Amino acid sequence: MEQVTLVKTAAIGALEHTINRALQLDPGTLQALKALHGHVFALECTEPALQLFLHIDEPLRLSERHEGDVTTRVVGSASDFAGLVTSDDPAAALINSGISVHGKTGPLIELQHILKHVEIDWEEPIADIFGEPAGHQIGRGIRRAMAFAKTIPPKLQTRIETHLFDEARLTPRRQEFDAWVTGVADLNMGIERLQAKLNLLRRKREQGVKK
Amino acid sequence: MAEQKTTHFGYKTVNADDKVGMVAGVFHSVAAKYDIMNDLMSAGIHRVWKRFTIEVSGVRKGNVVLDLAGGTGDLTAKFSRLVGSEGKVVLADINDSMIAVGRDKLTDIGVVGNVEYVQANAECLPFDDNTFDVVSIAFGLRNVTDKDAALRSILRVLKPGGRLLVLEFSHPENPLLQKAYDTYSFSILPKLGQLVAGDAESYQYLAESIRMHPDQETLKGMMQEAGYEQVDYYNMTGGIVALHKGTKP
Repeated sequence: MEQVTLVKTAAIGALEHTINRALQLDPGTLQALKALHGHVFALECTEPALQLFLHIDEPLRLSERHEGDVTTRVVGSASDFAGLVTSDDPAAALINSGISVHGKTGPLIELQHILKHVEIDWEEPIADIFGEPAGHQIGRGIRRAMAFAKTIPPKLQTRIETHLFDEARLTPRRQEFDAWVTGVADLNMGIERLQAKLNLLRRKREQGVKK
Repeated sequence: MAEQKTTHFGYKTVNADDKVGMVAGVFHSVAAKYDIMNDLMSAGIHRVWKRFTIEVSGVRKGNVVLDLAGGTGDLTAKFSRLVGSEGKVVLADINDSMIAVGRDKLTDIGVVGNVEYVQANAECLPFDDNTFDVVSIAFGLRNVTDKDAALRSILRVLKPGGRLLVLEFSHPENPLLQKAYDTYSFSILPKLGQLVAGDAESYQYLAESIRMHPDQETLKGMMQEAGYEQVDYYNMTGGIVALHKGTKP
């Protein structure tokens, strides 16, 4: 007998529903996913512990259990998976992250590439509610907001860097740090050489005394 | 004079021959409002119970599935998607009103092509031996007059290695939950039935039939007795509902 926790089942169902609703608003992604129809990806999250199967079909399906073949099994933590999805270079992300992959990597990289280019057309559902003119205006506003949001992380990063390096002088710049590390390494080598010379001189003096 | 065989109809004891007609009466009465009542009665949780059942079924492309007591076709719609065009789903129900509602609903949402509809009694299924990869019976077994006969009939039509899934109301394990559940079933449920479906009696029967249904371990034993192997069950929502699974050897 097994006591089933339905919260996870319900959450996965809701997630599946949301993804499919979103995909309906992005025909390009739906079309691209057709190339992967029939593939099953197993995502095994170690922290938090969760196993999820992604069935590429129309509509897309998520499940906690699957008895058939799996195209690719990906094992890692939640943060590893987040890094993989947002990476510009998925192949490098797969190799360098804490993720381990079993099975075919080609379809997985293709899937990551497709997911990275998801572009949801919010105008259609909004127009359904508010009518064409208002829907168009709101949709344009959302597109602008999303385009602006995409520029926020790089801008924010630049501003934080300027504050830390130039204004507050809390941390050195990369070049300054590299130069300091090189200086420390040179100093270390110089000390080692000096130590070696001193040792040599000490040995010579000791040999001279014995003679 | 020959002694007449009796059975339960809720808390009443009735002639076994009469039960089919009485259950049919209940479902003729509620068919039109069946889905909305399910959502109201379970606060939508029946969808999660069914989703879990689908996952446990392991149905895949090309499978032949029997959705017994399929009612308004919730499971059939999901099975149809899983088996694809190479597979087939048979929605069977003893009640023609339920089949009519189910067929209309499924046709309206585009579930066509790989679904067949059959009016059938679970005790004597009109299918060849070894026909189905999976048979499901969701919230239907407790209405069957001779449950043992139904389990044997299902076993006959399953292929060797095929699975039976019985999703049914069961018995909560926690006494406090049982008390709360009783209050809900006998005080609120019939009123809800009267309000939405205009039929309090049918929902009174529903509550009574759940209490008269075998508990988890008894049903497990009945399935083993009928010849199923690897029989086990999952308790859901504290045992209010249980999913039993068995395999044909």
